[in-house]
Amino acid sequence: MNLDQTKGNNLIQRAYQLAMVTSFLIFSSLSLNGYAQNVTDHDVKAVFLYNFANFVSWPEEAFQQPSTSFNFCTIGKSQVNKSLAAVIKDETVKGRLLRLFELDITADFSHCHILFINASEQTYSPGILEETVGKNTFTVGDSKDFTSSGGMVSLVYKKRRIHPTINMDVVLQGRLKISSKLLRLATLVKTSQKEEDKQ
Amino acid sequence: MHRAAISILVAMMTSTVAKADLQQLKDMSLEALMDVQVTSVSRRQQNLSDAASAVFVISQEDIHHSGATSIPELLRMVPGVNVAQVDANSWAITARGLNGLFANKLLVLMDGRSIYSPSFSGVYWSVQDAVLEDIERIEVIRGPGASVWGSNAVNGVINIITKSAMDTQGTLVTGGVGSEELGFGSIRQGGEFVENGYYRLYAKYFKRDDAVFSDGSDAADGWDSLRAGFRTDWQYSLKDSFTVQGDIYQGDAGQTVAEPSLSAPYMPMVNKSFDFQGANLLARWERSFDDDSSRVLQFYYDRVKYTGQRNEDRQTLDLEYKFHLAPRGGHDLVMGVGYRYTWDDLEATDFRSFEPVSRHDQMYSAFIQDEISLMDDAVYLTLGSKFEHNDYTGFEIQPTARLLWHPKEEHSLWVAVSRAVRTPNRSEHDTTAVPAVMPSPSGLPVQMQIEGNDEFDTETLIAYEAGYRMPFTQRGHFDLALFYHDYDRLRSIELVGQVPQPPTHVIAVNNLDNKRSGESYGLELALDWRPLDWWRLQAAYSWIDIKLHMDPDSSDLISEKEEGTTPEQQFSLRSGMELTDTFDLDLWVRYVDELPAIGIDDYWALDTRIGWKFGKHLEFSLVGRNLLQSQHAEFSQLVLTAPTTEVEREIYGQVTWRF
Repeated sequence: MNLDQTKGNNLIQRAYQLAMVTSFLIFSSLSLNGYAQNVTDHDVKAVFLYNFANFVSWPEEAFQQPSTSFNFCTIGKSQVNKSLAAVIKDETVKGRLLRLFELDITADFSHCHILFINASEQTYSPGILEETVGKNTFTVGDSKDFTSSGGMVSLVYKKRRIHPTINMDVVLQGRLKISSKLLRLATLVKTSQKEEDKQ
Repeated sequence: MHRAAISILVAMMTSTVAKADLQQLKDMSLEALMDVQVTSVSRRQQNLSDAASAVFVISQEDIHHSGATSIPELLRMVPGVNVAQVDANSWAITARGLNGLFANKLLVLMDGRSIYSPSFSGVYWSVQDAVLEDIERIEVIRGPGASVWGSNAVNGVINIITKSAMDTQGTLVTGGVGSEELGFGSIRQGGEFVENGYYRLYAKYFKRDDAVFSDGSDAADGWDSLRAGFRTDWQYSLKDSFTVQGDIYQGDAGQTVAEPSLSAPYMPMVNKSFDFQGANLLARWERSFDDDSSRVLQFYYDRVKYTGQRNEDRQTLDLEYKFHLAPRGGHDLVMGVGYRYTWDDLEATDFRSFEPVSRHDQMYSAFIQDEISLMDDAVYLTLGSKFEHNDYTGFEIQPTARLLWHPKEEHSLWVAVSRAVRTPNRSEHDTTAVPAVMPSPSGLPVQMQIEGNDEFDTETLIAYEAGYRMPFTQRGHFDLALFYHDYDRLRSIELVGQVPQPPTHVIAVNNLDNKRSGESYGLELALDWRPLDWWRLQAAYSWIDIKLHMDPDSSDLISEKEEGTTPEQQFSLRSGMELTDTFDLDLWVRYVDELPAIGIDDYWALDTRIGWKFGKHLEFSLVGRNLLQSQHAEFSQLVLTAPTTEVEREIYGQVTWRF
């Protein structure tokens, strides 16, 4: 084995080691975030939904008895449902136990205090929201078009954060009252003309 | 050391990451909650406005209002896509020019199964069909989509996606009759076979009339086809879902061809026919994980067989594994590996033979794509590449780099540069064909013979593209795409020599080679607008300029003319009006520019559809197509092996019943 071959081997070995280290570094940067933990959008949305139970007030007739549970309902399957179940577990709001119902678009929403429509079901929103308008259901969605199709609150991912947008026109059609604290922080919009999302 | 490094890498790729404490989030004030930076996003449904490519989606609503009865007809509404009906059962379809009966630069997939044939590098559109009401959408990407989809996606990719079985429950019956559509019908039944497990079964039949020659006489190219199939989708658990689908079909078609003959009139027109049959089966397993990553394993088998004037029997097995890492740290990574095995039997016909008659080919591929978000999600940089090894040219690389920027909410600007290749097909390597005989002024007739060349190389493309998307008033949007394509090593037909065969004829032997190059540039516009709640307008416009050059040492006199087989301008305008709750009026106007190299004039076309709904279950529609002229020509071949067939004005009525 002459000198040239040895050098060649070293070069190859070094290139290989360099590749290993580089890919290690690339993959490391993919799984760490400095010292922060991994905050997912569905966790944050679930916590918003839980907070709305405290920042919105319902009229007396929304609850049949003092022991009636406070009901969260979701339409469409996503990670938000799972997170919400974890968030409300063993919690109470104003003395009421929290319950989660995962429903489909044909269900009866009259017992829902907060209704969350997943973006995957956004095409059915207009129909569902027509049913719930003026009733005691606080409607939330995570599609950009949610508030313009008759929904009360959109929770949209914007600049790495989740931001609520509230359509006051729809809220004022019912008897739900939103705390001024939430109103101050959220973005307020009015119902714009019907948009067609071409997806 | 190596083993340790590899196992760490593997662990990184498969581990789940610790989640933020939910309790910490619950304890935050509203302000703090609105300020939390979300570091991992549940897999974004890619919105049109997030794609860094020229994408157009044909939705089920577009299909319903188009009056089209076949997939090729639907593609006419897409800017930048050239659709020309060659005869009653064939179409020449491509994106961004260089069209032909076997236009070889467009990759077409049906639910993930490639229907691009490696025999001729093209798509036999006559065998591709589906119950149109059960198509979810057709995604058309103009420009190289090669990095994720694979080689031969040079000028574009068409992805036909049928609805999940969950969305096709119940019974659907359609039936109709017309002047060209002699009779058609389909029936589909969907149901649930287990909790969260859905199926559908369907059958479809149609019979279509002959088209006509320029003098109005029948072209003897009518055809019929019967197909049936199924699809099942099963959401087995929160993590796992399975899809299995399959089709089986058969059909018969006629063709009038000009068959070469050594005695005058040398290319007499002859009625021929061919029949086709095939079957396919596809299975897919998708598993999603807690951390929003997912894995997909897909397998399919496909068989297609033609007998008669075309002889081909091809079977394909394809296996693919793709995984999508949970988006994290600003990177969204997708990777995959694939294997394809295809074998064929190409029996000789009178005018074409293959050596070898049967061949087994393998292809290995891998791809990686990373979408990197920069500057707080304002800019996305996508870097990716597909790597392939095939049995004709070995190793091929197709990299791409794309940049997407949102200058304003709902606006996006994108630029891209990519490399794509078109791999050789069986024909180019292994064929001997005698497509034409031409009289020679000086003496004996000349028989054109084309020999395949097993050194035939891949054609290459470097594409530079840019585009802009924005809303149009509050009720619409506008999409612009610009491109510059630089082609190299395009196919040419080189004269090798003349071999006299006294006393009857002379054989002009030609070899296929790669001595052509070219550039094309142009723009494509799409506009979607609802001026009123009940009126929707959709317009598409494209303009293209193509220049082809032969290498200095080329003796090919024909292929440069291919510049003129693409229309310089194309326009399409669709108007959909819901005149009442139960009555629709749809209009579709089209303009296609002339094809000077093959003597095709420019034309305007108008299709009209009237739809009536009766109650919740019944719909009746009356459709008139190509109403402006009694007949018009759309395409002809450069090397005239078939007389020009023209498309006729037609009308048909259809009943659709759902319950």
